[in-house]
Amino acid sequence: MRALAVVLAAAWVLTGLGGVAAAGPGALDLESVARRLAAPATQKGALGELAASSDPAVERLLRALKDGALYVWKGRLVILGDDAGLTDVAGRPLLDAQGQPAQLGSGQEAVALDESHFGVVQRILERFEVLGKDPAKRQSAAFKLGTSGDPSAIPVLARAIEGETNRDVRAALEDALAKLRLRAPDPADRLGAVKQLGRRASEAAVPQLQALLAEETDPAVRAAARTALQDIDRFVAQRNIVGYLFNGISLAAVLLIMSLGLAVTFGLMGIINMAHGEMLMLGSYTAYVVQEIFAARFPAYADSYFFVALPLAFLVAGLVGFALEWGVIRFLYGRPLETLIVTWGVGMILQQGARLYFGDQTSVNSPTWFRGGVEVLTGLIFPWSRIFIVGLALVALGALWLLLYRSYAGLNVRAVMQNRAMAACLGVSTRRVDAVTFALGTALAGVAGCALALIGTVDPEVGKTYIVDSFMVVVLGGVGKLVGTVVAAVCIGLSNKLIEPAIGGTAAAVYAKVAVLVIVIWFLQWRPTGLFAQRGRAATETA
Amino acid sequence: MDTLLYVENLTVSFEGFLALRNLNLIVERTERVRLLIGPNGAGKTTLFDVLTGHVAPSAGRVLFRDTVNLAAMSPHAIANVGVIRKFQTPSVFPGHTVFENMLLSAGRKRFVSTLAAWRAFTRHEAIVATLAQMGLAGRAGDLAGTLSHGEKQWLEIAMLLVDDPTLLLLDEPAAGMTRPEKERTIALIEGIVARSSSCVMLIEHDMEFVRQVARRGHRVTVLHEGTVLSEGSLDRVQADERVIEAYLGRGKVRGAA
Amino acid sequence: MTAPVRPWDRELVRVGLFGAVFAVGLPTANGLGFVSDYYLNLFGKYLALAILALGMDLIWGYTGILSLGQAIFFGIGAYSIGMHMMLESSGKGVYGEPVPDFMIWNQVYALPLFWKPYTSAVFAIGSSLLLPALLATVIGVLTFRRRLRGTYFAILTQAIAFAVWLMLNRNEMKLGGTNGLTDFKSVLGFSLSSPGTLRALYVVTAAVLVGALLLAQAIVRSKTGLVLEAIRDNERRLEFLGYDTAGFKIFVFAVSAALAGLAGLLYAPQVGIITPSQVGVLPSLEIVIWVAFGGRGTLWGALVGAISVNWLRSVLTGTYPRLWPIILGGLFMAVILLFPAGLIGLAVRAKALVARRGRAVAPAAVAASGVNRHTA
Repeated sequence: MRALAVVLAAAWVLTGLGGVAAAGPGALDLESVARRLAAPATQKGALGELAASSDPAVERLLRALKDGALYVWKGRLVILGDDAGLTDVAGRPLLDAQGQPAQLGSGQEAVALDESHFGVVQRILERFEVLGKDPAKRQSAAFKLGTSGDPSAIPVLARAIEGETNRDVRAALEDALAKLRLRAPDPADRLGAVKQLGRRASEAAVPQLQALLAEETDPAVRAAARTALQDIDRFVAQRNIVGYLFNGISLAAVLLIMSLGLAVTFGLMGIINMAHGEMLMLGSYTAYVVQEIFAARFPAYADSYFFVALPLAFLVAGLVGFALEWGVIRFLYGRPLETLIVTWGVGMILQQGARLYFGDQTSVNSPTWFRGGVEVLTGLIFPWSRIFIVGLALVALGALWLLLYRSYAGLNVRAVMQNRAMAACLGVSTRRVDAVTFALGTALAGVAGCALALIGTVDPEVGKTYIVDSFMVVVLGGVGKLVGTVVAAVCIGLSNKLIEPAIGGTAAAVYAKVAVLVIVIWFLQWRPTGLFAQRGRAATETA
Repeated sequence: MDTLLYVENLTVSFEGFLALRNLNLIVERTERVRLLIGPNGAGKTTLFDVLTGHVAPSAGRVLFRDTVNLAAMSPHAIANVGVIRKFQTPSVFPGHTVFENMLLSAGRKRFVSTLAAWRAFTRHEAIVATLAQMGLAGRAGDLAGTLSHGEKQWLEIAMLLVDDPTLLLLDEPAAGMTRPEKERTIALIEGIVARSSSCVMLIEHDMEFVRQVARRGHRVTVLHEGTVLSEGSLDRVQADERVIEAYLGRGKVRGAA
Repeated sequence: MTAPVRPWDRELVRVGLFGAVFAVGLPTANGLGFVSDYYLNLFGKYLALAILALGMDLIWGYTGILSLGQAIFFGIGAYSIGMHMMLESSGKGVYGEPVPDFMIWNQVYALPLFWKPYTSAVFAIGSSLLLPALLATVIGVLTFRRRLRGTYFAILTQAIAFAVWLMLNRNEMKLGGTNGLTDFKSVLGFSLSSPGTLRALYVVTAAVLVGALLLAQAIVRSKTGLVLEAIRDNERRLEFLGYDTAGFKIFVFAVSAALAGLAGLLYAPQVGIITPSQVGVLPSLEIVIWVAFGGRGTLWGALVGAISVNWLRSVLTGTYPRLWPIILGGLFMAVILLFPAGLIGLAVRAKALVARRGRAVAPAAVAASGVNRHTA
């Protein structure tokens, strides 16, 4: 297929470009063209010939012309290198009669480039970037050539494809080639290009295909163009859905880490901790502070700061949670509404404290290895930082599950939460279990905050953005069941991100939030206790 | 058919655990007292939960006065047809006075009727009479939260009695009471039987208490592992080998092992 | 035996005294030059907020339901009258267009449909009272009928308040976005720049507060009031006695919402601005703190709390604007943890102490939980 494209392109150039084609791109007589280049009268024509060539020597020649390094020496055109050595237009070093490196006579003037041809030279030179060293530059040059609509770039592209080893760049080059061939005079050629673009579902080719459709007379090509556009539309739609799903999963992961903490403090302990969002904020600021310290003290290891920040965020938020439980919460067990009010106050103090100390907004740089991402589909990139957060959520979930349901400590926790008095009788220190369990819940929020710092700015109100959603997750999931929390986090995350594009507009995120809230309230109409709930007899619950 | 309560194949499952399994029970309209006994976990309180609408059964029928299907009703609706319940632990309104507790219990309970009643508190005489019957007349103005444990139990019974319920469910009314308090409670129950037309269904663990209540020939139902093990007069069920097995069986097994 | 129900006469005397001081005394003092127009206006604001606190006390203090949606209802009242005042002054603005100025900034040149009825003052006043009550009824039916637990109700109303706040901040809602509604020129034809109008607004606010207080008194002293307190103390017992508590909860929620709307209606013209920042979760929780600070479950507590905390706010936000959130947060903690019975509770305890020293008779119940019995 690819070979065919190259052959077709070559054939088109051979047949299509009249005069120049007679010699063929490979067989361009550089010396004679260069001579004409040196004469102002023929410069324009010579440039026209060079434009269709893919010979790398052309690039050197034109660059020399542009930089004023092209000279006439003994009737030949020569290039003055950066090392002051002379070479001929093909790049061979020149020797004088004595066999020594040739020298220019003094006072000689370089071949002048006519001001009006500067743009042409620049364009031809840009074209040669597809042969450059940097893959990213090659790729962007290919894209530029594809949209230029200039068929004379075809030989360069064809040549670049032959030598290209990078998969992504190669794909870009082929796309560009096909786009240019949409203007080929031969309908069969156009048909081939259209079909190729359709097969590759190249979104960037849509304007060209539409332009083609408007002008095309050949019915077969028209039909193919229509099919290609449909194929591309379908692909883009599918890709968008995959993108929304991933965004939803990534939001769900953030909500899940937040809500796991809440599932512990609210679900198990019955405390409405409105300062949970501020625990997340503490985690974010921990990441920020650690990053600053690394940048100042250990710049060589700046990237490793995250390995220190993550456990530290867990510890800091956990310790603050421990202090909060010890100083405040323990007086309020069994009075959830009052914990709501008090912890809101705690949250206000922490938030304003952070604002006074850190200012309104700071940001955390992702370690370099978190930059970029995986391109799962053409034009769709999953950033590493978000993939990391999804992974972190799964790890946190697994760890919490093991801790609660497969460890002795977890057995104590569940015993205390189910029957405080009985657990105390059996020798469990309920005070300690309460404090540690609460601290565990807040520590999870700290981890969430540290992870969130990777994908957004850090500001004192970061917690408020997620706290309401997180409570909705716990309420929807049903209290006391981890599986409910997971399912609800995924539901809310996905529905937010799927509703957003359906609404569209600048306020989509706001309306999506409102819509999700309405859905949750509606859902609670027929399952007031959430997705997964526990049942029990009345006697154990009476006041 | 002329039954007060008709329970057929009642099954209640808590996440797989069968609290009641195929329980069948009939209380005649002429009966005045029915005693429910059985070891812990026999399903006695769960049966009350089903009768008052707190727990929905997984299977089975519960008919009150032959036609009213209690299993499909909410707790407040069940209370309004005259099936009313006393909880295991005393459950009164501690922030209200004894008299206000009684006001809340008397008269129509619908929102509109309550709003319309405004400050014209109804059934004043019935409240005074019931408080006197329960021996609480002197404490009408005190906060219910300041009553002793036994007095709270009596207040709760008084609250249930004031509107002459058809079926009064008492869940361990004597639990935690001193001996004189228990004797007084027995007298109160006998007073209820004598003065009103209510049928009393009673859960009790204290066998001495059961014996005293049942001595007038009231029927006793023994529940075990969610189903009816035996029924009849106290003497008869006490002689039933299955009952002895249920109460002592576990001890025997332990002794043998 | 007489029925030991709560006495009315002494309460009526107190309400009368309160009315005499605030509805008659203060304006008279203002007229005689003892109280400046500025302070009268400030007190007008506090008294409007006291109505809001009364509503919160009915639902939270008496019934034990934590509604974090009160600020929404307040906002509906304030925005309703605000829209009416904007329309009253439209055409007189900088641009001379028939729509409020802020709409011009957002390229809206035709009056949105939902704004049109607000040209009528009757509609605006009606909507500030009835719309909150209606919304509360809908939310109440959706939550209380399904027996959602109390904590769920708090979380859901909080989410609703958050959502409303998010939406109000958007310009697309055509309610002024983050800037809210401001720059009112007149109310019901009276210019807001004249001190006479503000004085009249103060008197109306004080009179309405007295009326709201009497209404709240009547509710808490009726049999319905007994039921509301019983819901707070032991809802299950009430249900098993035969009460369908949902109806009562919806009722008290709707009444408290209407009171909140009334407060907003009186607040907006006196302050001259209403923004989304007054319609969120935090403002709702602040109302809770006023009530808790004064003494929950006592109507006087709600009044005292609303006036004192807002006075404190006026003083402190002037002096330490950056520390105010920390002070408020500390107040949240201190009120709940250290003196849950509030100022009224402290006063009752002090009175009991004095009485004990005087007569050596101590009704233990008074200090413990009988606060509401003697002061409600």
